[in-house]
Amino acid sequence: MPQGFLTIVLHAHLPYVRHPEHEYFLEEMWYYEALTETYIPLLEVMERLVKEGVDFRLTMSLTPPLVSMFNDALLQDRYEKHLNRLIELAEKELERTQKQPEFNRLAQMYFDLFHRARYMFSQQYGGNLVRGFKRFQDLGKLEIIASAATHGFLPLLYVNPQAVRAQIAAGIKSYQQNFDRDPIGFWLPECGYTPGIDEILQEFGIRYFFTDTHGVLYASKRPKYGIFAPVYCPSGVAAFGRDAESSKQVWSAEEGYPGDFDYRDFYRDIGFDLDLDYIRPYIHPEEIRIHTGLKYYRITARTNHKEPYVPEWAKEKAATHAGNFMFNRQKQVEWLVSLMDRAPLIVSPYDAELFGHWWFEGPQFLDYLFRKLYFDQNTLKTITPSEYLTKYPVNQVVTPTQSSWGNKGYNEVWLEGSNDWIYRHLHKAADRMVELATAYPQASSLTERALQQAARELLLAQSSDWAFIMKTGTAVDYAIKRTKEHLLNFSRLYTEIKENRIDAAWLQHLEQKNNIFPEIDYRIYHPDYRNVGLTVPISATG
Amino acid sequence: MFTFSLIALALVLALIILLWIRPSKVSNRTKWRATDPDQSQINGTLDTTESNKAISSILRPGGKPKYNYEIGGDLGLYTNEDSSRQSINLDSPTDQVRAKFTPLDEPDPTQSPMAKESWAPVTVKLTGTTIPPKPVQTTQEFVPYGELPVGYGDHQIIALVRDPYWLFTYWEISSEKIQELRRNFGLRVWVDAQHVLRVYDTTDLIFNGTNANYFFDLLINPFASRWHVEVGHPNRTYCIERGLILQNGQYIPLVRSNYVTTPSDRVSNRVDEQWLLWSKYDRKLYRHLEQLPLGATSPQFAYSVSLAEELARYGFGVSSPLPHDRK
Repeated sequence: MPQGFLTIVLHAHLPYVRHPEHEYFLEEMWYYEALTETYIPLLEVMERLVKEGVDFRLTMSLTPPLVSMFNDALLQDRYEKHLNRLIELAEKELERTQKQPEFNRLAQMYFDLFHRARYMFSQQYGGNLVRGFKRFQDLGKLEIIASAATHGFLPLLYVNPQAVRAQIAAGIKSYQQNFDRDPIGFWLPECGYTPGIDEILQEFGIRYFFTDTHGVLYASKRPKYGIFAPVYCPSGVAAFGRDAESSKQVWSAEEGYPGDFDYRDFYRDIGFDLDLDYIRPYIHPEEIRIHTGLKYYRITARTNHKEPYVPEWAKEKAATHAGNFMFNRQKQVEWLVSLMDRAPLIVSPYDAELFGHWWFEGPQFLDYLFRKLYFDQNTLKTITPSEYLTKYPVNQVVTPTQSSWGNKGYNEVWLEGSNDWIYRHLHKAADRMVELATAYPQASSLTERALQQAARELLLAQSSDWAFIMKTGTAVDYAIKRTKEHLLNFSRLYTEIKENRIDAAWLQHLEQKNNIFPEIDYRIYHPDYRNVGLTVPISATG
Repeated sequence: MFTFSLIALALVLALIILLWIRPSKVSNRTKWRATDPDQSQINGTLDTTESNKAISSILRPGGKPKYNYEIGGDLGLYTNEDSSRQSINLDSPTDQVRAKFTPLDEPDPTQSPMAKESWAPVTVKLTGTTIPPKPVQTTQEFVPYGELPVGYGDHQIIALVRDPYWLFTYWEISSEKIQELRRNFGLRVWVDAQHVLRVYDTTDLIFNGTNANYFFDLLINPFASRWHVEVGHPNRTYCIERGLILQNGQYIPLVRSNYVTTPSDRVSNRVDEQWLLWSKYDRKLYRHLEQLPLGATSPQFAYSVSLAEELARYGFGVSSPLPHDRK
């Protein structure tokens, strides 16, 4: 019997960046990079662990935009072409680096890695990674949880609770369609919580969600076990608070494991380093240099001086870091056991993309960590939140505090000088969507299609990614364009529906372009949504 | 052949430009110009399709705008802070328009009403030219992206929580309300009054407009439509009123917001008797937890073995930039 439990949560999300209108689209590359560097390697780790009989538990949220992109035939086709280009580039690199053994072996590493990715993607999962993740859920190793439809930052949409309800309902519906079951847990985008959101989760049969440390720690009343056990909201939905220490140990780019000098450097990429004539076919057609994914250097030092990457050293370091992580969790559990009258739970949530994309060796780290936990010790055991709740169904009832895992812990990241202007429009559009759903509860044919598309455009405009990008200042124009585009599409649909003059050609164009949630039902915006015949019943316990 | 393609290209370009500049509706277009603080002439066109709506575009020579241009009538507000083309509400076509310039490097003009900004009169000549309507667009290109409206003709104010100490609010005052004010308090009321946000603390009470725990006023820019408000207290409930203070001191509320409650910024004092055992164990646990600096550097605890020590044990050179080796 272990003394304590560890829940590792990976939050997998990307905004919906499908751009059929262009053959090549810079932001679409975010998705391809994530597939090659994070999602396929994570599946590979799980395949290996299962094959070698290592019992483990992992919890993952796969957001609806990401799952929609996994499912999308156009993107599947494009990703395969993308991988073929990478393989071709790696072949050329093998040639070019023939006389430089320290780089040649790295070219070989990427050549193998891309080949393996293509095999897993095309052969093993038939082009759709949903199958991969679903397989591990069905095996009982992975608990996949639902998330909001488009990663809307719910505390700032809550002025119209119907908008939050629709984000949650559409997210759950997407989950049911993809994973053939009802979700038990829910990832609140950015851990954004405000009291009342739990009541909506409860309406849809959700049993738990996560908050940042202070969401639970600052709850009223004071939670007896701090963040080392879940609490129940007054609605009966459980909240699990993030363990700050284990998060920081991995997360922080400055102090965490990923900054180790032996690990691969993220920024040095042949897309920037090599001659334009040579690299031209593999970068943006307008000769904008981009990350190709072939990176040959290790972090080396805190300076710009970089030495070639040595995979063996990095692998050793990943094993050491996994051992250190486990050791500190053991010590943490041993200390907590002396204070608590039940087995403590340590909840460690991370952005999935940290593992592989930002921290190249991250998937290796997880592989080692799960092995060490399984073979080397008995102090703690990995567990899913639903398993923990089954073990400990009685928990304290408190009200968590409004919080997020963004910088400073509240709403400021998504509500500051660069992005505060969006809320006037997002709120207005949500009010108008409720108005439309109320006025046309039983629409059919063209009007129904226009209403469905209006709901899609509204959801897409609500992605927290746009506000976040505006704040971080990296692809601001794109984020502003997407916000405006979806809002303007929505406004035009609103006017056309109200004035009964829907432009069928334009509607069809939008349906093809912004095709997320093919099965959406706009009636979720109806204030009395339960009684207007939603086409897919939602598992409500409330 | 080459010349021919050039000519063809020029023709296509000309056609595109022609299509581009043709206005879409019957319009009263009014040209205006002003001088910005850099002495650059900026030009624009007020496009008053209906009597109380106007669209304006701004052109500044030399490409990118260096300022936020707000072109305000005595009622309306035009701003290009998000774009170069937006609609404004004007009471009627007017020739009394002013332009405000706020340097774009000002990070958040709504936070400080005294931001570096300057006003300049804009000469507007009402020409009332009527331009024939453009034929219905039949293109399959679908590039409809114009700009978001500045407002929606609503009369409302919305408050949002930013963190335990700050709120954010945005609002819109309807032209009907302003007409009503003018009828009751004279035509110059909007110009002469002080513009305020009145912030009420309504924690634990049913607010009736006069029974707040306390309130304070923030003087704001009359053309502003959003503001970050420092309230300074976690766990309190607030609502915000947009109002005017007349020259005689009378306060006129225009519109009142929803209620919002600031989140907690510390561990609660309230202890649960059913889950009590506020024992030495719990105290120890909380002493530990309260050390956690949220969003700050990695915490250090008694039981954490530093990675540096671990690595030393495994015989690795310590190259890792961890906090431990800075002890």
